[in-house]
Amino acid sequence: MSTIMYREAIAAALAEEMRRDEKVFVMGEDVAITGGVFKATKGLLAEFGPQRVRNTPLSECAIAGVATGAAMCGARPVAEIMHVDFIGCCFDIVLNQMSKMCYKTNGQVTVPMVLRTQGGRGRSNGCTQSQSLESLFTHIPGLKVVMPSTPYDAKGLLKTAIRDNNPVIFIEHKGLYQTKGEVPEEEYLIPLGKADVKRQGKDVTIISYSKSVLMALDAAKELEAKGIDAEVLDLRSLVPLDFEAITESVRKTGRVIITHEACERTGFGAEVAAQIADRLFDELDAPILRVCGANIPVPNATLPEVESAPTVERLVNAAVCICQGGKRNG
Amino acid sequence: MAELFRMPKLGMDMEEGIVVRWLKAEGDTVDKGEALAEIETDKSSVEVESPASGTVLKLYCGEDEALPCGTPIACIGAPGEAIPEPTATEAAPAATSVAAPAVAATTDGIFYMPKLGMDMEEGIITRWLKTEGDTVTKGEALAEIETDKSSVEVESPATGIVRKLYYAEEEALPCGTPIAFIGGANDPIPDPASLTAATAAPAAQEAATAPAVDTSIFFCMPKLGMDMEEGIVATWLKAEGDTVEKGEALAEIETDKSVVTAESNLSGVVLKIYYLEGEAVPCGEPIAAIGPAGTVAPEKPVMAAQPTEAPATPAAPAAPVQVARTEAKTGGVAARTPGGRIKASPRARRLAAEKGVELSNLQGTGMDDRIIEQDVLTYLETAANAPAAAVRVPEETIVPLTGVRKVTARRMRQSLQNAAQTNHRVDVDVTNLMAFRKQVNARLEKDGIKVSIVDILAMSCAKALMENPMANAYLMDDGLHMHNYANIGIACDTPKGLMVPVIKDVDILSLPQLSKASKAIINKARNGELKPDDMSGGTFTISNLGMYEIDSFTAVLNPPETCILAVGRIADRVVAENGQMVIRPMMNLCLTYDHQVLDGAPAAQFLQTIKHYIENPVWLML
Repeated sequence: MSTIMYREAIAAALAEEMRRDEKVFVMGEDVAITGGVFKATKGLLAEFGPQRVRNTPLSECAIAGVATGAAMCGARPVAEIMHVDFIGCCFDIVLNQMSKMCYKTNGQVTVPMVLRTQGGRGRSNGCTQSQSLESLFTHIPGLKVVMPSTPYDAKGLLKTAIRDNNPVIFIEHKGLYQTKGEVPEEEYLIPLGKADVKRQGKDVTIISYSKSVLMALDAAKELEAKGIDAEVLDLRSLVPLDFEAITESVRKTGRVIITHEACERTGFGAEVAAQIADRLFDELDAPILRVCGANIPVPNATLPEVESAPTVERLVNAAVCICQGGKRNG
Repeated sequence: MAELFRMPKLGMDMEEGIVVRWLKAEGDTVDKGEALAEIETDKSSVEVESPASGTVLKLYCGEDEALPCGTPIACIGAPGEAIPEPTATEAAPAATSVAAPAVAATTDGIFYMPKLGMDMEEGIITRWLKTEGDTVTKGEALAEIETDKSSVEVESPATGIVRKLYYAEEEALPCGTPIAFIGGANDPIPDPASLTAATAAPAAQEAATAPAVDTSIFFCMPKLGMDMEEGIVATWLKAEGDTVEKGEALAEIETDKSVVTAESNLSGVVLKIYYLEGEAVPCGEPIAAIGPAGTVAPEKPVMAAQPTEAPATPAAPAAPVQVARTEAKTGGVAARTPGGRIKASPRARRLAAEKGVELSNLQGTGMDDRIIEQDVLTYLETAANAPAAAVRVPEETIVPLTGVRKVTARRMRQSLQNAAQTNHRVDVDVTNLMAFRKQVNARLEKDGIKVSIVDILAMSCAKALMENPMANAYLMDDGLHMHNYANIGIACDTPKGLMVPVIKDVDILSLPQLSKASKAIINKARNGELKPDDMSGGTFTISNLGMYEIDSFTAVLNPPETCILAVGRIADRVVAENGQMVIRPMMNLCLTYDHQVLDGAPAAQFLQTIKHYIENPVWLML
């Protein structure tokens, strides 16, 4: 075991897979010499050379299009879109080519690629570089969507994503790159579609993913002091969704809070809440609550940026409300 | 095709039933005719049979729920088959089965509730001896009918197949009501409502002409308390044409005690509102009709205005017994939605349903005062851990008066209402009686006869009655009916209750004859074999509780008789005799008499006469 940063775990996963399979290559803006703006590809150029670690022009369309074409031709590209907010520039490729090629060709052509990107707030990057847009992808059939919260998960999941024969949208969080965690020396893989209980509890299930998991864990600590034993379930991949794990946890607790940074309105929490209401109605002992981002553009200024996102305080209040009998509005 | 099993209509006037117990669970297989549920009506509890073979796909209701006849309560079909949504407003076959298309009514093959005695007005089918589909020959026993006096096997009036039993067991029915149809395999089953009653029994006529109303679409005035007989529609919360969901508040009902929000028992459109706000309506009377849009609501239905438990689910629970049970343990009041529905989480509802916990009196501690799982658990724990004294809550169960109990109750009340009853008491020395009985029995032993004390008492009374004829009279509207015979009834405790078999012409029987007659008839009483004749015509009654070590008691007259003699036990007592204390076997007699017929002195003389015979039994031979 060694303690490494999230971004190092990403780089380690890429290096391991590139060593294992020469068809794997990396492309994106500034991924080569700089090692990416978040340093997640640092060191790859030195080991694998410019053929397999390719800088691209500032064209998301080119990045996504070339990666999709290369994947169709047998390569296993790992393309990076610097900010998920920029996805609009190449959305036709994602929406109509990358995600549909296998279906359109009845499986004769596959697109074994990973589109790495990152989102989220926390650096006062403003409303066009701080969004959480995972719901755009989970809504598109033909894509898998992975959002790891720890270095361990990031490495294991990215390796699996690279080996997957379908396009995988791998969304990191700009606020996680510097976080540290233990990662084994030896190789390991984490299957897609397996949620992880980050904290065991019996009173309320907090469902989350990506950086919000860390906030949920902080909230759980505060809740413990209030006599509420919260379980934190990290979905890790949104598509495929591990509903079995959700079922197991909700059966135990009967109460659910879903938290994510993305806007509450039609966020992924709405999907999870609907499935729980639909399939686990009789298990529920309280309304399903969501603690999510405000339905506004992410503000630049630090305080509003923080306050328009889910906070530990809001999460604790919600849990107290459904566990200890509060009023919905105050 | 899955088949719906509906709350059956087990009698003409049954409006709702309670599933007391499911005999099958969801997923169980059931054969047609196999018992599926135990249904309680206001008259009895009956096991009802599955209408089809298959798997129990769905039980639509829990136990102890009162539901209107015709409401689907279960669904039987093939495993995996789609479960139909129950629609209570569909035409309910069970409810209308007694109102099948009328055919030309022939009395042939119709078996009516027989009139087994002059004063028999109704009878109870205690047991069907044949089931539907059985063949029966004319004269063969078809049913066991209980009258107010006895239980009798009655014979089939025709030979054929028992095509239809119109009533379940334990139903009290007026004489003349058609109760079964015996016919050929393909004969249409006549509608009992179309049949003219065989005898001019007004009650039967009424039952036969009562219109078969589909009660499943009615919202009735709920009975919100034991003593509530009528309610006032204070406010209608829905208007005609509005859509209403089952459980949604429909009206505010004012009782003499409070105003309660009553919830709709049905989902659909309010088709018709029968009463305006402010109108008082007897409990059980339909006050609105609810059904699918476009349904034509019947005009204000004419229904027996009997205060039945309301099929509506009132905001306060209708069952008073349940209220008592939960009030004692919790005392809270559940928060409700603006629509009147109790706020409870699905998880709490499921647990409460499993454990049979009534939610309405639980105080919710969840978000927005919602009842949550923990509230139900706490309630159950409190119930389980509380000391016995706290757990024991006052509970009152109601056992309907049936059969002999009902008859006895009525006759005893009549007796005390119609006669001026008072009594005389006397202690009797039975030394001679005992010796006499010993001598007589020594002589009669060879004939297998054993004279009892009561036999000698009966003979003494018969002699005394002949000498005091007023004590042997009936007081009737047209005057005193005097009798030149003494028919003596002996009150007997039987498994069915109090029965009074009558020994006829005791005044002219010899002691051995009397002894044989009394033994025979008392045995019949104990075996439940008494015929109406065995119990009619009594002019005087003896009630003996000596075997229970009772020293002395008063008896209530057995109408229309004038006297009844209550006999206590024989016990050794110290008595004064010629200035000496001596021990004698003594017995107390208490004569209850009707002062309308007998004054105190003649009654005393009559009792004295009896005393003299008992103390000097040799006089019986004169």
